[in-house]
Amino acid sequence: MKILGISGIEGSIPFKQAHWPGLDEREYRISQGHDSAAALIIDGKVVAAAEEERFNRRKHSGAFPIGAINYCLQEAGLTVDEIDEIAHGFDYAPYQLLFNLDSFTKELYEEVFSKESLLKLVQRDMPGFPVDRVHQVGHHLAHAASAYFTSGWDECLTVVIDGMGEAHSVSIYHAHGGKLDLVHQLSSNDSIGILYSLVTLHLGFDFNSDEYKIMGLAPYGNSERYRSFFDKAVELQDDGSIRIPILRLNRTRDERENYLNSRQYLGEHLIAERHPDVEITDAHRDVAASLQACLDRTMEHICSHFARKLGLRRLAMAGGVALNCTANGKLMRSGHFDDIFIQPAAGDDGVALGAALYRASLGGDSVNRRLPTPFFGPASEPDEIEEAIAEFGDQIVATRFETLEETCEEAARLVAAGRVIAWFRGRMEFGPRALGHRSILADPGHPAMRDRINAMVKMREAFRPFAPAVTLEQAHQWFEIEPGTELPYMIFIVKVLEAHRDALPAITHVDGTARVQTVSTRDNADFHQLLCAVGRATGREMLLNTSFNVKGQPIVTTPQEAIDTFLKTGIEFLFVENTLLQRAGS
Amino acid sequence: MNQHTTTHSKLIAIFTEKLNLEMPKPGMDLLATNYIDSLALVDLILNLEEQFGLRISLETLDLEVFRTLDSISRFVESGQTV
Repeated sequence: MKILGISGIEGSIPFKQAHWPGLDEREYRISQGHDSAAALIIDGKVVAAAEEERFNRRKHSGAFPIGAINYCLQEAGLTVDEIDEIAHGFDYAPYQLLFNLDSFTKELYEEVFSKESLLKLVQRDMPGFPVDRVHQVGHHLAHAASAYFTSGWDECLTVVIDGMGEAHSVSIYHAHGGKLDLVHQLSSNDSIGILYSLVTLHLGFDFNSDEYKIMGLAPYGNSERYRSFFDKAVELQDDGSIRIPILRLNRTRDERENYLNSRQYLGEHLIAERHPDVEITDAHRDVAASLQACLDRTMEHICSHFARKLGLRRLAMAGGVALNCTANGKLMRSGHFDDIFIQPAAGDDGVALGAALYRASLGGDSVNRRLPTPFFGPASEPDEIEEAIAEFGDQIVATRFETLEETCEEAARLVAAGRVIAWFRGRMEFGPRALGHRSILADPGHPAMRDRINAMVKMREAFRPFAPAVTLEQAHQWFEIEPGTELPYMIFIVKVLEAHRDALPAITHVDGTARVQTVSTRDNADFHQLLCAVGRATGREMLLNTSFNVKGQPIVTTPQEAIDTFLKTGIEFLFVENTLLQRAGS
Repeated sequence: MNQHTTTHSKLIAIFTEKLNLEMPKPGMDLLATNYIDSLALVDLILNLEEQFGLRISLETLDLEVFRTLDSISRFVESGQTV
């Protein structure tokens, strides 16, 4: 079976813009269906997957993912006609009656959420595709499938935790024997994801987008200062569920759509709302710290309760909240689990993968193997690269190396000399993290490196830490993890060994932690080879690894975008496969 | 306590403690007055399932069941699965 999974709801933000004109741009993200993507599964195996933003160049785009679909088809050498099914990672059909309760929600259902509205988009962008081959999979079920069917485990607890799916914020499954048995669900009115996003918005950042920045800000603050507020706001129940009364303060349509009363409550009982241009103070840092600590406790409360109840010690997770590396790291160290697997595209891009994997499992096509480092996106052919280099003409100078080994030696030499390099190689990553194929790299041992990279390319908030990539063989020498621990997706926070914190200033956060990525020869061989070369040059098989993009821009996809971004920033050297590019005259 | 009183107590707890709503007056049309909207109804259904041990299918739902407090009481007391 050839199944194309898709995610995103194109009409969501336009519908909100039409009905609530004049909102702050950030408030339009209080809506459903961002981060659209496509994933192609053939006979149960992932063949290709990519986010639409990488093709239409609009960050977090929720547009129908025709760019990503075309890429997936091209990668597999298929035409649309050869696809057996399309599976969409939302299914509002069971809720139609509820949406009919009032004229507004009825219109929202018909124009945005219904299968008919999806089919219109399919017909617009994939004309002639048979409508009876388009299927919908419940949002949380798709998230759960994305985690379970890539975990490599026959049996585990599977937890989905996000802002909201169609109507729920948490879904607990007992996954076993290729099936996902639903155990418990929490209403979206008790969504820890929505609360986290509302506080993110309240602190002057973007809802449904900037939550990771609050996670990065949290270690600078005092988590006790606002603990009593969050203890009251999020009630932990004996049955493993939670209640968040302040999300139920909204009565009218306006209030409910934009959480007006909840936000007012935050302003009156927590802290005044911060405008994005206003300086971040200790109070903001303390709110971030208290919120993060609240999330840590909540995740542990929910996951540990159902693990005990079902007698399971393996946990697979997905959903946007599962991208919170700090909470994941705390959960890993909590002792409740022997092993935790977070599907790396845990946000809504991942439901494209999950919807397809779920439909494949129904047809008996399930291949439950541990997901490798997710290089499921496009690579560039040598002629495409040469064409891109030619396009930029005399702006750049190219040095071509014969082998990967020579390329790595030169890159390592530059890194050891304190230079910042961009590294574009192989297939693009699926999911939000650059894992060594579309990365900006530097030596983590240089004290000023964080500020330098921020100034030359990222233009991002100074408080946010950079992450390290380290060989699997050396990871335990630098970080508090057991030898051989694989953390290939950069999705867990671990502690930097105290003895090395001062020597690794560019990747050690203020609380002594780091969002580490381990790199193995098995599924990230080229990047491993580079790290080994860096190890010979610096004594550490480790690099600072951050995504190859500038603020507000999706990660680069093509060699043209790589060169263009390189030229517009202060990055000093760009490696595109085995070719080193420098600015002419530099 | 008889069954009706027990049901009433549990409904009071659901509306006031779980859903953070004021207790509706008997006979009040909960749907026409927008007292509960689509998401609040999902919330109510989740709580009814949990408190009364019911399984309620959203696809085959009869909305009339949720129109008044009395109709909800009758529904949960009959132990029906819809």
